[in-house]
Amino acid sequence: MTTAGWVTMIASVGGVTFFFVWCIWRVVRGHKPDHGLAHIEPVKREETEQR
Amino acid sequence: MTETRQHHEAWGSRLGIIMAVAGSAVGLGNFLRFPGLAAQYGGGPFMIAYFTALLLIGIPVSWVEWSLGRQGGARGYHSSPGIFHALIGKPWAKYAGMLGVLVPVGIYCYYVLIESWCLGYAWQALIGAMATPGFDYGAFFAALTGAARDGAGLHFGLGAVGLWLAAVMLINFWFIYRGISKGIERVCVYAMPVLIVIGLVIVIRVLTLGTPDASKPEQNVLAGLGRMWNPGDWARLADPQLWLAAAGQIFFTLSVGAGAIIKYASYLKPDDDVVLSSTTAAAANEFCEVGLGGMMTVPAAYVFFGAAAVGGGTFGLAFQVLPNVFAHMAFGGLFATLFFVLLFLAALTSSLSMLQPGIAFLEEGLGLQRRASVALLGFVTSVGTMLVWWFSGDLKALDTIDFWIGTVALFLNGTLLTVVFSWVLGVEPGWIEAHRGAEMRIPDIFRVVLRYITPTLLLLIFSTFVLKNVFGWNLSFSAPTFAPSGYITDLVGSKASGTARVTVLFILLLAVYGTLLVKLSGERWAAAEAKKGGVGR
Repeated sequence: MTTAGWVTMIASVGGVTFFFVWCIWRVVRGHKPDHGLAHIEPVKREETEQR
Repeated sequence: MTETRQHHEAWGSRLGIIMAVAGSAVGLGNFLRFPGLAAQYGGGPFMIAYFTALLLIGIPVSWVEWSLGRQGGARGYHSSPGIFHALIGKPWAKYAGMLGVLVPVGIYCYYVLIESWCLGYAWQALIGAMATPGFDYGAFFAALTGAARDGAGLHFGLGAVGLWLAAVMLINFWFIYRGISKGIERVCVYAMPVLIVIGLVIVIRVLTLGTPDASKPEQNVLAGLGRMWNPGDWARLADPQLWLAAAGQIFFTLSVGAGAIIKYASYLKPDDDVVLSSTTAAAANEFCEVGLGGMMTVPAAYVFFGAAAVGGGTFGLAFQVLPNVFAHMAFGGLFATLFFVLLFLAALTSSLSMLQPGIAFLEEGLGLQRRASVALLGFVTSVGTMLVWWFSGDLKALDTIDFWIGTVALFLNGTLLTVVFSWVLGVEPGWIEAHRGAEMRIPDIFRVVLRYITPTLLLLIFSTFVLKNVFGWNLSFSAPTFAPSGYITDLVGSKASGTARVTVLFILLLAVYGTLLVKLSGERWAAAEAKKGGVGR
């Protein structure tokens, strides 16, 4: 196993593991948008229907 | 719209649909095809191409499929032809959507057979039959699958495939009959965590193998990991073959274009999140593929049998090399059983997702009740499975249907979905739709990616794939040569194969049958919409 092999393995396996855990954490926590979506999504439901 | 129980179908929980989509994506390829490709092309360069394809194709197309599915569901349609009909509103649209039914149903016909191999192997491992000295793994595989000659696999019994095939078909249709929440969701919510735990147990076992044979110190676990992950030659990044292989793997592993995601997402409520949910399903698949598959099969095979064992192809690795590997390790019977149960669970969650688009179409298009739709789809798929099972010599029928339906048509459907989203419906409306109820915002750069890069890449990859695998292009611009590939010479010319011709005839009949059903469905939908005054109102 070369150094580059270690780097490839840790980056790949570590990356997807972090990605997976982060996503599951976001889903389980039931995270609500903490950023403004108003520019792409009307805040009021009736406006959504009109769109 | 038709008044069937479709209207009453819904996901029981958010985690349920995520697990179902992840289950649909996680299949045999995660544990067998991916490690083989990564080792073949050299870990580092392949992973760069792989993650690039994930970012530019895999995840964007997942967002597209989830968004289109939820949008179609909101208009009262749950099948791919129905969703295309509702969203595009042109007479041709429903026929384009037919691929979303034809592809999964066609794949199911042979996938269920492979699923039954996994169950048969799990049983053989459990009773210790494969750990006896001198066991001939190649002969056992040939006998079980009937690869030696046509009809050779047509036997029932615990050591043959027939009994397991019947069991697997019953299991699949039983859960499909029970519906989305009580059937598919319940299976996936239990099966996926079990699959991940089994995968982790096997990975831990592989990482603690050390140097099993003291007379071969070079065959140790670190060398096995090196075989999988060492970058080799970085110049391979300039090899188009590597990029094609990586993009193809991303495409197949995420099940984009397979018709399941759009169908599953159609049961979401209009304000349910699709961005985070689809990203999570893709992440779960990547964890199973890279995190588990990448640490398991190739290192284990290398530790016991060296580099030669790694290049045996997907079936060779799974059903001949790995059983032998398990036979050589302590508690091998237990780990072999766990491994084939893992493959079976991965296959089951995928095969369920292949049946559901067909069921949805029959119920929605023809107004059939669940029993009738299950019976009709059961009959059609049984004919296809029988064909693949009988024409088992050299696994020719399986290979042929896998190429034309499981690869060419799958690529075509995924490309079509993206082109429809990006260029027919337009990225801006799709962008707004995707963010409705979203718990995570898609980075703005993906507007450009979805509008230009993803569809262009998919068209490029699909055309290159066809030129290479159908017309036999050598991928050279300076000295190009073309020679019809084996899949073409199997059909025309002096070397034509009867089995391949029969298989392609079956595919064509399936397509004609599907076209007629779509035509009938279109008439029913038009009549229902005329009554209500418009699509989905």
